[in-house]
Amino acid sequence: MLIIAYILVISGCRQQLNLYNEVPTISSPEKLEYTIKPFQLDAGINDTFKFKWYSILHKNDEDFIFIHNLVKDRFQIYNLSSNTKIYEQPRLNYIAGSENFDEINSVYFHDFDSIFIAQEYLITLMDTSKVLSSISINDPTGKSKLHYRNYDHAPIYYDPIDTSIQIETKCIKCYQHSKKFYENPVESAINLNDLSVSNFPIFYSKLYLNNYYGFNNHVHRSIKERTSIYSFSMDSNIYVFNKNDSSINIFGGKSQYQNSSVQPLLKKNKYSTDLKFEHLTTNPYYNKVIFDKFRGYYYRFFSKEIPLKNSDGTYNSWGDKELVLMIFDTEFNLLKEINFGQHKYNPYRSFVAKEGLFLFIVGKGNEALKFNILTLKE
Amino acid sequence: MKLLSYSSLIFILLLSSCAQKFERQKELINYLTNVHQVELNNSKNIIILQSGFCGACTDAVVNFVLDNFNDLDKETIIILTSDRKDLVKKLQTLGGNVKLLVDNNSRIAKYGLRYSSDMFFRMDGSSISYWTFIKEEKLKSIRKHIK
Repeated sequence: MLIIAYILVISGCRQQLNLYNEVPTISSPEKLEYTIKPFQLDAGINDTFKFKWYSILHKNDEDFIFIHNLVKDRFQIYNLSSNTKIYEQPRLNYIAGSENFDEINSVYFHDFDSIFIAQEYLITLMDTSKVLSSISINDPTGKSKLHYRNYDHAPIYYDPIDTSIQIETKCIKCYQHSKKFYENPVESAINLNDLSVSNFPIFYSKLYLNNYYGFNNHVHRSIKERTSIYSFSMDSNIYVFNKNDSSINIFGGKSQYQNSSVQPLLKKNKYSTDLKFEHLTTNPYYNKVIFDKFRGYYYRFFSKEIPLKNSDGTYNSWGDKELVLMIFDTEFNLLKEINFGQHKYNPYRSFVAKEGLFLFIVGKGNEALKFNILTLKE
Repeated sequence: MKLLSYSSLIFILLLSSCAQKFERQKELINYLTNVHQVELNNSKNIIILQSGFCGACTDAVVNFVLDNFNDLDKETIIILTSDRKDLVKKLQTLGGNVKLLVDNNSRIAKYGLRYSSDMFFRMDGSSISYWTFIKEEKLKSIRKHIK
């Protein structure tokens, strides 16, 4: 009898621990007006782009973009304000490794004398002429439980105040379909002076502890001064971690366009890549939150749920999802939502600069970089 | 009782030996006929190389196709789901009754046929007599069906 009571108490406690709370979204609709202006990066005649990693620097009232251009494997810097290329060097002048092995998985453009390049086992600090230093990361023997790298949605960030690199963290000794995987911190800081690693007290959304969501487990992180803003792809909440006092605040960030909750995926489908992709496609998906320091707004991208099959018998894929831009004030009051519809913008390559929100226009092939700049009217 | 369990066992064995039905057969036929104007009036091999999907269409699969579909009498249609010039160049070397098609506009996704693995179909007219994802453990089985 005592044992049963004990089990009940323990399981009750466990349930309590995993209790997820969807924070209500405070909606304060404002008549925000905006303009849209096209912008095309001047790549010069016959030059083309294929890139995954980029980083934006604002300096002396101008904006610069650092790109790892996979076409001819080059590092390039463009002045966005004057729309001119100001730097180009072959990647191999600085960073070794082939495209497949030890490929670059993140870049951070802190300044012209401090550009950080992350690979699986190395973070390199370079300026525009040479490599300045590098540090080893991750254990190549695979003995460590935690692995530090950008898994596509949380690029590295250099914090000059504590001279550390913030980097996404995952348990590589845990299966992604096991609860243990989601009990680990999602980000850490590697101190560049003594190479010590501190794991942030930020963990996956509790929803992941209760159910399995397949590929819908992306961690998006962006930065506002000393705070890190986390967005989990299937959770409407926004998690803000302040490094100054280690506080965590959770805000509601649900889109009015979300009409259904994310459905869990049966664990028996854990090895079916196709079913996991279909699940990712059909369910709601919350993308990154970006802070607009020039105007004092947060932007969040949201991709609406979509049926797998349309009434005409055709199928939908990831690119068919409608993209919504959510605009919040600094207290995360939701001010406005703009539904861009389908096939228009790629949120991963969209960013904030002085002129506004650069929305990357979806295109095919290696064409020039085209954006629409959305500027909110003051 | 014993007889019953034996017959159950045979029944299970029979079932497991049958190829699993391809659930999007209708979509496949519509895709082949609408997008590529393939005439499904005889028996032929259809290979879909998911070249637009990261991780699919590996060297191992391409080499398997090059080794096993060269100079076949049987009509073989190879569909690339993206215009990868390197693959087009390699596959154009195939002799015999091979036709190479490229899905330039990713129409395959609209027909629900974008999978994470490459696929082999043996068509008899407009019905699928055998199909499988092209994986290491299935290569032996595919070889049996291509001629």
